[in-house]
Amino acid sequence: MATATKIKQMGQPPAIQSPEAVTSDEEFRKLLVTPVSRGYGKTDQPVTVPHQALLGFVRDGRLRVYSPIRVKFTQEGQHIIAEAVEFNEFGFGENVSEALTDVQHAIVELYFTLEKEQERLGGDLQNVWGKLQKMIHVR
Amino acid sequence: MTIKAHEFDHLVAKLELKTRNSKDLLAWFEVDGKIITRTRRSKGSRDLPMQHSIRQQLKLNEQQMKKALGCTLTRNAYIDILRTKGLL
Repeated sequence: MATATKIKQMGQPPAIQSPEAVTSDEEFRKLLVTPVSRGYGKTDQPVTVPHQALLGFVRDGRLRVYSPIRVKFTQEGQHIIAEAVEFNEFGFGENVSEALTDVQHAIVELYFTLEKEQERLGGDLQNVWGKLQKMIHVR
Repeated sequence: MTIKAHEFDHLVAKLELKTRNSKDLLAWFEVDGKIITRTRRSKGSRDLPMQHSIRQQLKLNEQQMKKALGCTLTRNAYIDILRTKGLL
């Protein structure tokens, strides 16, 4: 039985259909991974950083993304910052790939932290927890 | 703009943020048992390029962040800031 059919029967919302969302490691690798290296292998080539990406997975088998997570990129010196705008969460790295991996990790950490502490959250964090629950589900 | 790991740690100590070690150092600010703000810093990085991001997570403006990093922002003053912003 197809996975999508199984999910439908389980009463879960359908998986994300956005054609722009990054939903696999393979697609993830297609993103620019231009190094901003230092020392050996240093490149003087200009680094091209995408303005934003839609993230369809968070690199954690426990969680499934149902609504693409918008990630904005900025460059700060030698670092790339990846910002998950809806969650006010950030990651960084020496290239886009590292920054994305870091923000994915941060989102997972945020999800399980807020889930554990949901009874003690102030208003702002309750909002973030609400958004997380809408966009990400436990498998 | 970068923030040094030790500056982050001073800020955490000064504002009395609670912390937990994970892959990163997670820090959150509690008032009366409620978690109001939270942030994190990567371990192993001396210079963190996310001062702006950490400032946003702590709900501080640039001036207030300067004070926080200069250790002149007290916990009570921070509570006042959060109250002014309607977060408490």
